[in-house]
Amino acid sequence: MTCGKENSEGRIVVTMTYNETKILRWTSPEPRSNNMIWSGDLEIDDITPTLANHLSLSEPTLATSLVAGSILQITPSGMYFNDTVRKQVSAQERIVQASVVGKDIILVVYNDSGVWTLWSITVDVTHPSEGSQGDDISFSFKGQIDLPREPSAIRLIHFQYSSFHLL
Amino acid sequence: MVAFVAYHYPRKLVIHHLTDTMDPITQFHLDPETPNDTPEDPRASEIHSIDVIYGQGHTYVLLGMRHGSMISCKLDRMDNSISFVEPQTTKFGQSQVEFITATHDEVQRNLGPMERNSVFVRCEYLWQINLKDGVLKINEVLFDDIRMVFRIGCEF
Repeated sequence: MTCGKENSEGRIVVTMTYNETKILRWTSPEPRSNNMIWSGDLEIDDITPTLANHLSLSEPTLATSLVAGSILQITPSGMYFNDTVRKQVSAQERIVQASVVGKDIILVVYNDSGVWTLWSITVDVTHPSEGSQGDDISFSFKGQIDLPREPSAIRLIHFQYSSFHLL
Repeated sequence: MVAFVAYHYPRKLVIHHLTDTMDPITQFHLDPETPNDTPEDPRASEIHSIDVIYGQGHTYVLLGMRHGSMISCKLDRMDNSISFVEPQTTKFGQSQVEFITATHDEVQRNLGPMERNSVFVRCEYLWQINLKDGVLKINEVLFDDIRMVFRIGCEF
């Protein structure tokens, strides 16, 4: 995930082999603007401890994205933005697969009753009025459908079916 | 928005339209000779990752398999339905095929013609798939001393 001026800073979300998540910050001493020659040198720091209150670090990360300047993290237990915005599934459910494009999310959720369900969710970002701090972020549930069995892979794509143009 | 959902036993790919009902639009069977109620050969490689590449009126679905190969299918529109045609298999290696894709919303940032004509693939080595003149071109990425920045990500 890239951010910062001249594309010179970003985040790397890593799921470790023991199902823990680490967050790394990379910075480039040189600007990385489009079509520029770049040495490939990066400095990488582990910033995991500074995000311990914001994200779920004791689980694997299934999918991640940068939304409104914050890291969106999807784990088996739910979706996390920061210490105030999060959506967790029930104790009988767990997220087994996830795909994110921009503010749109799809999830495969397994229920202890043996049902696999595909969920569609959107992140709503409302820019606050002048004088307020930060963006107002929430999750909107768009729809769901039961699946016949466990999928082996999922992928969310912008696609306008009616005109057959990818959007 | 659509969701691509892949299954095994038997292997197939289903496209769901993300409306309120999320009904399936179409599906593609990788093993059409295998009946739906018969488990496939357990040695068959399952679909591990999915991506799409498109431009100049051509669209391909790319299926990364568990055991080192990729199946590419052209998406074709006939009347009012979508079909998968011309499936082709490319062998990269032995390990699972992973597509390396950005998760930011390219639509909002792309002010030019809608194209997504390049995808990176990881399977033992790094590969790049380009869509040129309606045909997929696959090349191993070879690193040297000169690196170019081709994409600006999300800024804040």
